[in-house]
Formats: sequence, structure tokens, C-alpha cells
Amino acid sequence: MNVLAWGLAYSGLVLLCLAMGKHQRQMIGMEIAGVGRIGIRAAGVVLLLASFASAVAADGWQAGPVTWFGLLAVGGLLLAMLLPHAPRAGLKLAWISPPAILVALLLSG
Amino acid sequence: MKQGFRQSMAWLHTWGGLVFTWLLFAIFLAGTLSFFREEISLWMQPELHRVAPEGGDGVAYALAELQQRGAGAKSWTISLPGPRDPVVEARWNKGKFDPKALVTLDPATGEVLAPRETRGGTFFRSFHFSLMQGVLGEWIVGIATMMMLVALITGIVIHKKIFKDFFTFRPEKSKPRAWLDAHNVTGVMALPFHLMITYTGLVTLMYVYMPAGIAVVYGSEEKSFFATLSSRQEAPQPQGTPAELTALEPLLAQARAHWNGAPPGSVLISNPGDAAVVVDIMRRRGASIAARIEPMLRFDGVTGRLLAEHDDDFAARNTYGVMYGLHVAWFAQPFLRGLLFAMGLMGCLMIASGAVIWTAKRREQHTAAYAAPGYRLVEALNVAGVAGLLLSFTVYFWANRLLPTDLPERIGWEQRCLFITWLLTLGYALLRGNFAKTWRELLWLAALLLFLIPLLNAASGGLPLWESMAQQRWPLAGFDLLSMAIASALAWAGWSIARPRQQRAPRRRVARPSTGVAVETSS
Repeated sequence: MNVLAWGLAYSGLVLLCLAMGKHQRQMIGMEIAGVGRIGIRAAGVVLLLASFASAVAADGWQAGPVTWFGLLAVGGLLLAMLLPHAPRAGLKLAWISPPAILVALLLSG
Repeated sequence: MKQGFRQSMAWLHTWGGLVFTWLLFAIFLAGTLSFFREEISLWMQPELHRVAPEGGDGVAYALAELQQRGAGAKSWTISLPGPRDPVVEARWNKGKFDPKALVTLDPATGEVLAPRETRGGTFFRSFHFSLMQGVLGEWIVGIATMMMLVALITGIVIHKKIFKDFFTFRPEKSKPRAWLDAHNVTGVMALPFHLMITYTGLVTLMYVYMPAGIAVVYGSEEKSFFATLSSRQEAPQPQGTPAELTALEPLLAQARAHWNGAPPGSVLISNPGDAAVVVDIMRRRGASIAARIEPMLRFDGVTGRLLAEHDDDFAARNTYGVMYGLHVAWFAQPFLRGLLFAMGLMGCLMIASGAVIWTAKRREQHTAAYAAPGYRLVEALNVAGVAGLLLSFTVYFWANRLLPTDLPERIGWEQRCLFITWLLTLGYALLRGNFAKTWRELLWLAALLLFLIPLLNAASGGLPLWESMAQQRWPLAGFDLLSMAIASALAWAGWSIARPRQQRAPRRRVARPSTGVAVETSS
């Protein structure tokens, strides 16, 4: 379960990042303005909240929040390192990881 | 105030940070390693590698040894095996502390093991909070920690674009700029961790730094303060009539049930062999986030009757326990432990990059004056404080395996190897002249030694990596794998640190006070 929290945290961070003009140019080669930007940011916040819920569900109220902060830190660092070198891979990872983790979790039972 | 608020904060961040940076890096790195204290200790005792985990609790074997070796002792202590530590340890206390009054057993077979003398991962923990200098060291660490807190808060104040630059990392830019990005990213992403670990670090030693409250309430009875903090209880007076000890297994089962399945961690038997024998069972630490206040059950050692439950939490003790617990992270399961380790490394990177920014900026700005001895000293301290320390810690692991096991004062020599290496790197950095090359040489040497750790382990009696992986002994395999991973990162750092950059056309720097991130303005 906390692997899922990691996927959600990373994807949420990517969406927050994608709501910023200069990173939009980096990741998708164009700028989205206005409502689209707000929508992306809102979706990012929702994913981060879902990640928090998932971390708490996995590790409980005592350790869960600590895990969540750790996931944000490590996910954020990964994203910041991917941005200058492989921005599109960073974006792809965000699309793929939560569903992939979910499928893996379901398969492993 | 002559300058603006932010400029004053920038000054404090720059100079306060610089003065403590090398000490803070050492404290942070040692503390980060301490998250894996038990794993490191296990790795550093290859004699214990072949003890299979989950081989029962070994209490019967421990008791048999204690009855033989510890006859007439005031108390016996049995440390039960756990997920991070496969062996059972039996200690006896005949009145004064004797580190040799200890026997280590394989819990499955009862075989007496003879692990080499080492301080293991506990060295990093002691170094982390006292620099191996006792109370004086605790004060030095406390002052440095206070400065760390100041640096964190001033860092937040002077980071104007904390949200705008949240994800910004531009390694292709000029050196000070790229290092500043690295400094910001590692600092901001793990900021909750940095603030938490720094603040709780101060709290763990608050009775050293702020003793006034304790002095007012407890006066000269400082001991009773610690007694209140801990769940340990005084033992009753021995009666002088011999008596048989009750079976421990039912008591352990009862304790486990009492704690809703949380396992016991150790058993203290006071007055063994006497009619006044009592058995204290402590819960294994890590069942709750609160540390250092583990619940305890006291049983009558003859009848097995439950005498007392010490798991009452009162607010002050619990607050301290949670703060302490967050700092030492005994509650953390492997995944979270790994995350905490990663955040600790991010803290190390933040501190090291901060130190490098100071020199990189000045090298760019004062090309002519840069040969001044002050700059050279800072450069040398940077190299020795970061690359030299990484190398020294690696040498500690090598010394652990290469020093003969029968060497007198072996523990001291393991540590001496570390500190001598550290001094040598400082001397080398001061004399070598070319700092970029010194960085590279030391980082590569550390990377090489660290990368060879799995080979060293296999060649000097440890469980080889392929076997530890096949047997899923992750505490052991993790040490080898993480060493190789960190070695790769260091090798990459050594390669990129001294890489000649494409010379861009020298730009005239125009003062643009509103756009540059204000880290340092005066120099």
C-alpha cells in the first residue's frame, strides 16, 4: 500500500509542477493558461491528498504521516532531477506509475 | 538596522552556516547512518551472519548460560532476538558494570557465538550526539544544532522563490547557480524532515542544555528525574532464601497478549536464585512512535504472578517520548527507514552544497584575490569535511574487517583508523594545492573502497551478497547493495565535480537585486 502512496505522491507532484509555466514548456513544449492551469493544480492537490490517505491506511496514523513526508521529499527530488535531463520521461512515469502499482498490487493479492 | 531584514538574514545564513558547516555535515551523516545502526552493527560482526533469523527466542538457552556463568549475580538481562537482530544476548551484573559479562547465543541452537569486538553502528550514534567527547561534545553538538535551526529558518526567509523554484534544478548553469539549485531542492523538498530532525535533536538532549527546570523540581535528585522518565523500577531487597525461578515462556506470552501482540524486547531478572526474585519484561521498542518510555510488566519470579504494570503514559513523558521517537525512528519499518535514510542524505547534500556554494561564488567573483589563505582554508576544509569524511567512514568499515580479531583495544583502533584517515585527508587537502583534483581523488578513493565492500564482506567471513540475497537477509544484503549504490553516486560526483565546463562568454554581472536569489550579497 505505501508503494501506491508513493506513486500517487509522485504523480501529484508532477501535476503541481505541470501547473507552472516554465515547467509546462519543459514537459509538454507549450503553455496552458487560465482554467486549465487551475484544473491541473487542483488535480495535483487531490492526488497528494489521496497519497496521504493511502500512506495512513498502510502505516497507521502514527507512522503514516512520516511516510508521506518522506514520499514527497524523495518523489520531489526524483522529479527535480528528471526535469533537466528527461522531462518527458518524468511525465510518463507520472501517468504510468499509479495504475501500474495498482495492477501489481491487485495481482499480488 | 542598516541593512534590510532579508539581507541581515542572508548574512547570518552565509556566515553562521559556513562556520558550522563541516561539523554539521559530520553530525548529519553520522546521524543518517544511525538510522541503520543495528544493521551496521550486524554487518560489522560477520561471526553472527550465519545465524538464521526467526529461530525462536532462545530464552531457555540464555537461562542455562546465565545459571552457569552468572551464578550469584544481582541481576540477569536477556535481550531477545528481533527482526533487525537475529541473536539472543545474556548479561549478568555482579555489582559493577563489566562489558565482558555478556554471552551471545544462536537462539535456534544455543551455540555460543564469539563476535569480534567492535562498537559497530553505535559508533555513528555516539559520534552523532557527542563527537565521542562526552558532555563537552554534547554541548558542541547542541550549539551546532541550534545553528542548524537558525540556518534552516534564515534559509526559508531568504529563499524568495520558494514555490516558483520548487522543482527548479539547472545543472547546466554556472557552478554557483547549479549548486544553489541543488541546495534549494534538497533543502526545500525535505524541509519538514530537516526541521523535525533538528528540533527533536535538541529535545533529545534537553536535560543537558536546559537543566534549570529539572534542578528546580528535583533539586540534587537528578536521578529521580530519569527514573520518572523511564519505566525501570527498583528491585526489592534479596531475602537470602534460595528459590527456583518460574518458567519464563508463559510470562512472555502473557506480556505479548497484554500489549495486543506487540513483542517483548528484553527480560530483566533481579535477585536470581533468591526468593525475592522479580522478572521485568520490557516491550520491544518500536511498537509505538514514542520511544524511551517502553512499557514494562513486573512479575513475581517464583509464582509468576503479575505484580505491576508500568504502561501509564502521562502527557509530559509522552510528549518527550514522541519527540525522541521521531528523532531515533525505532518505530520505522524497513520502507520508512529507507525514506528517512534518503531524507538524511538529502540533508547531507544540502549542507555540503551550501559549503560548496560559498567557495564557488567567491571563486567566480574574486578571481584575482581568490588565492588568499582564508579561501584556501575553506576549500581545504570543504574537501576534507565532505569527501574526507566519506572516505574515513568507509575506512572504518574496512578496519573492522582487516584488523586482527585478537588485537588488544580493538574497538579503539577501529575508531583511530577513521580519525587518522580524516586528519590525513585534511593535511592532503591543505598541501595538494589543486582542490578540484583533491575532491576527485578523495571521492574516487571513497567510491572504490565502498564499491568493494561486498567483496570485502565475502572475503572476510561475512555472508556473501549472493547468499544474503538468495536467503532474503535484507539487513545484510542491504548494507552491501547500499554501499555499491552510494559508491556509484560518489564516483559520479567525483567525475562531474572536476569536469571542465564549456566556457561561456564572460558575462558582465549587472547588479539585479530583485531577481537573483539572495543567498549572499556582501563578502
